[in-house]
Amino acid sequence: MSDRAVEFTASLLEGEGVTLDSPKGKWLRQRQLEARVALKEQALPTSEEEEWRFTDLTSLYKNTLSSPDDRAAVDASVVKTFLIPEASSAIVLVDGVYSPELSRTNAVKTKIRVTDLKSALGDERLRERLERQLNNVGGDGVSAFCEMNTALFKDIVVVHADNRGVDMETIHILNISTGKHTFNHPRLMLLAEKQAKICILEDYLGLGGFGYMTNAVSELSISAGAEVIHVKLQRDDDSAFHIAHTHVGVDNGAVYRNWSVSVGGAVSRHNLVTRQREEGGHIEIKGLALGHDKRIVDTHSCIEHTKPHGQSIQVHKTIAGGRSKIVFNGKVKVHQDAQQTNSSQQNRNLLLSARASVDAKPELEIFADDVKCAHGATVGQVNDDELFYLKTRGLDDGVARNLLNYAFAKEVIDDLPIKSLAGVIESYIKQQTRV
Amino acid sequence: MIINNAKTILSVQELNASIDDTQILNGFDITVKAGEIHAIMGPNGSGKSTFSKVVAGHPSYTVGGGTLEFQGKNLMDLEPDERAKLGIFLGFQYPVEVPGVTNGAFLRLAYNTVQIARGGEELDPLEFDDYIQSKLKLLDMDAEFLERSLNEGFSGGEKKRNEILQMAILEPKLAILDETDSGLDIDALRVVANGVNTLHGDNDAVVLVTHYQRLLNYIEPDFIHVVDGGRIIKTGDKSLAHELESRGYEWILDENKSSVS
Repeated sequence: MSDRAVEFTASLLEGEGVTLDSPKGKWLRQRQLEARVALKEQALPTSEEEEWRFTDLTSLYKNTLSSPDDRAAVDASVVKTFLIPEASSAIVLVDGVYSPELSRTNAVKTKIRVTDLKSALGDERLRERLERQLNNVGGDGVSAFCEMNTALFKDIVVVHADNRGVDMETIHILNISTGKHTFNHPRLMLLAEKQAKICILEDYLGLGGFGYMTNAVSELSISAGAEVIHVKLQRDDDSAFHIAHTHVGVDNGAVYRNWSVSVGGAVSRHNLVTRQREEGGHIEIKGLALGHDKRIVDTHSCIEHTKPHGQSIQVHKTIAGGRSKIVFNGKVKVHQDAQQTNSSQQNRNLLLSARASVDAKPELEIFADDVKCAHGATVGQVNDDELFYLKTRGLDDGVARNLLNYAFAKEVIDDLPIKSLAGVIESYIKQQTRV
Repeated sequence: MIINNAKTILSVQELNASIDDTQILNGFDITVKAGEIHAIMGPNGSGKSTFSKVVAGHPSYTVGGGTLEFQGKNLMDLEPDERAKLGIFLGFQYPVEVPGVTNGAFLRLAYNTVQIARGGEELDPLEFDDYIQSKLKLLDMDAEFLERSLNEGFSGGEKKRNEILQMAILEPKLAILDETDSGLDIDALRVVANGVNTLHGDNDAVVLVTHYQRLLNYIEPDFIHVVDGGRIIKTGDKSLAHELESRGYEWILDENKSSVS
């Protein structure tokens, strides 16, 4: 254990977790205390650990981060420019704290509830669900950062969908960081009841923030027959550290479709763990990571099939330019019980510069004998013939390369259910892959 | 059509070019004037495709010597896109498939880029849509082509039509069509040839690079050049094509060898 990581861990623990003292939150304060204790035993990870081998966090640990000011002023008209037209409701958090002024929840239909922790604890059914689901996924992909979030989150955004039989609704959860060298630990809990349908956009960006750390944990529990679309857009400031854990449990015949797009941060790490908990179930995961300058973008995904007849499709694409470093570790675990699993994983990486690097590692652990599991990983460069072809049609080198980069990424964003995001992501690609 | 006192469009003299240290073009000479159609023929590996790529500016080829001028302008230091903006078009033997790039969007981008470079006007998507209708008709192409990814999953014939569609939009002064006839059935060949004939006029020139005489039944060349060993070894009028058709290339190659020795 490196001294730096230990010191950094201790310095973060000077912060506080939830402050409400209702007796209904007792169990929660207990969990936060337990997490603190665990962090004293096991500090935040360093690259000496196998799971963190390719992602050096020294640049994070040498910082002294502080808790953000309670009320940072954010211009509502600026926030508006980031909101998507598709969302019936937008939850805005500023430095990890829910902002009722910036949010608009009026359009939420009755069967979808979006609440903060305080109101969730006031609803006995929701409180009980929350207590059961918090930290429920566990297993592979849980790290000390997850524990850190549990110890220090100040609030939880709870999305409860119990809307069987009605149309899909889109909720935008916008996390804005304004702090300079601050930390925040956003926590999201999505509970989709049987046959519910919901689409959420989990969105991270910096507005004036600099050198801050976002340490997010999102938990999604998807009951039988429900359909959840989950788009995670990480567009944090180029100086930021973004660590995120997404833990998903998929029940009988449920559908989980995830798009994870990383186009921000100096260092980012996304642990995406999806577990098929009951029979059937369809898991679809599409990832896009852009590396430019000296950015490090690390995605560790784990798709776990524990029961028969599950299906998973994963496509992860990355574009590495400048001196960036991109890491993809894609684990697919098929338990002995999970017969007739059908799983495919495809990882394609495009290197734009000789000084950029990609570490790609597909990892299959298969304990069942009657399964179909395909996987493939490639690392390539822009195709010279394609480039020449486009240039003979008058396109200059930069435009032609940009077009090819966008074409490469398009497979991932083409069928994004939130249509307005395709253009947003396209402009990030154009900006960040410019030569 | 040969026109008296026509302007020279392409002037190539003593051109040498190599790829990976293998010399392919070896003293290539050709002069193409406005209004003319030239056919460059020759056996496989003679250097005819290389010639077309070198004129378009393919980065894999190194030009070792000679001159390469377009309308009096030295092309040597120009990028492929700069050559395209000047008015050079290369129709590819194997058009590249670019998944993810919509054909329509790509055509408009290419059109606007070239128009701006030539001092013309850009077209917005709706205007472009109107503009392209007549061009699609010329090549007997359905508007549905515009929605598909550039060349992706196109049949051989569709790809070649799409090449001529690009030629129609880019309005080149010099169109070099590399083996445009290969892989075409007779109907597609007729459509493609008709397209080229319609687009060609007194102010531009066409160079057909082809292995077979068949295309020349539909597009009548003013000159036929036979290439071997990286240079033109014989030039004649269209009757030469018929002679090649009946006698093959061997006799010219032999004739050339004896004249050299």
